[in-house]
Amino acid sequence: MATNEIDVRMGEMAVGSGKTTIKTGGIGSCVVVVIYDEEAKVGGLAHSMLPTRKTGMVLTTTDPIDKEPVAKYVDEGINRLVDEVKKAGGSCEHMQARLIGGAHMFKSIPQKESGIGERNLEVARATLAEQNIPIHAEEVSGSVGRLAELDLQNGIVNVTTKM
Amino acid sequence: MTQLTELERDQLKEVVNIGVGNASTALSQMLRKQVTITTPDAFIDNIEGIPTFLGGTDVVTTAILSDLTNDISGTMFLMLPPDSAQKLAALLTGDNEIDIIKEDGMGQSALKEVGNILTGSSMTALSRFLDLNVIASVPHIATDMLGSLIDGVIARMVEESNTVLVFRVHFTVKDEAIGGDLYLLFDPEVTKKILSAMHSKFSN
Repeated sequence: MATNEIDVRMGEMAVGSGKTTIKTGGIGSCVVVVIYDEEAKVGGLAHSMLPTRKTGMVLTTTDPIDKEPVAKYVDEGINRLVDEVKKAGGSCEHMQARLIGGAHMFKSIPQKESGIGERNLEVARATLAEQNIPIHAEEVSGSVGRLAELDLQNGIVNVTTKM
Repeated sequence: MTQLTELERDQLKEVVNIGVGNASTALSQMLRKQVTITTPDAFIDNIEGIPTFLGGTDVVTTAILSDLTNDISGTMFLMLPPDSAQKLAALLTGDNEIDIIKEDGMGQSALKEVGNILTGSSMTALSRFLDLNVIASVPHIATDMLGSLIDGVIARMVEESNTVLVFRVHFTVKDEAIGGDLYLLFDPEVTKKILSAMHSKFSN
């Protein structure tokens, strides 16, 4: 059975439907947000690194290497993902979200110093609440790296670990 | 950061070389084995490209990292395939069956000591050469998918930039199947600081 596979890298997102799976791996403190509309059978996934844009962050170069990935920030990434799922035929009332990641990989680093994973999760939950999108399931926190795979035909998300 | 000239990049590589050269000598003394290192590679890439450059997002890797603070802020880390890390720990402890996954076990402790020595000796050389201060944190260790180990480090680096500058040195231990990579990532504003320290050093 021919199934398309889309690989999403850190900071990126993808949306689609039909016989397609969207995969992303190496999720540590990053947060992967999956949004799926059960009725329209469309959805997508965003792999974000930082909770929110630092105020005043302006880029001064136009060098393509400095191009900002679309889902770098959790809040902006979710809003963009929701818009894209809508464009693909989804509607907010039927969207459900799932969260993956937000881990604290190095156990010996005090949590308060490097709570980037937890902050990513907090912002993800808050942004989804603003958009009135319920969180259907979470596979988050701890000290383990994760891989996530979304099957766009049925919205099933497979989360695996290697350790 | 993207405006670095070829010359500036070479100068930075030279600085890294000074630090890491010292580290390989220290490691060689610690292991009583010959340690070979390559000259540093400098890579500058967009955020999305970094995990691939470091060796593949989903590859299970052992990472020992230290945070650098003060004038030269950034992160230094050592990455090894887990079997290489296990052999290194075995060589240091004399226990061939040593477990490097067990939290706070002897295996992790031995590898952290390697991290300590590599970071300490390279930073001592760097700070002497540049007349800049640097404090290295205690080493932290974890084994998991490479992408998951470094995303937190990268995230911190790209708070004010979308590009990451990475220096890499590959090392191998003679007669042992042990090899790994030593990475040095400076915070975005630090590269300029290092270059100006070099300029004032050479103009005097």
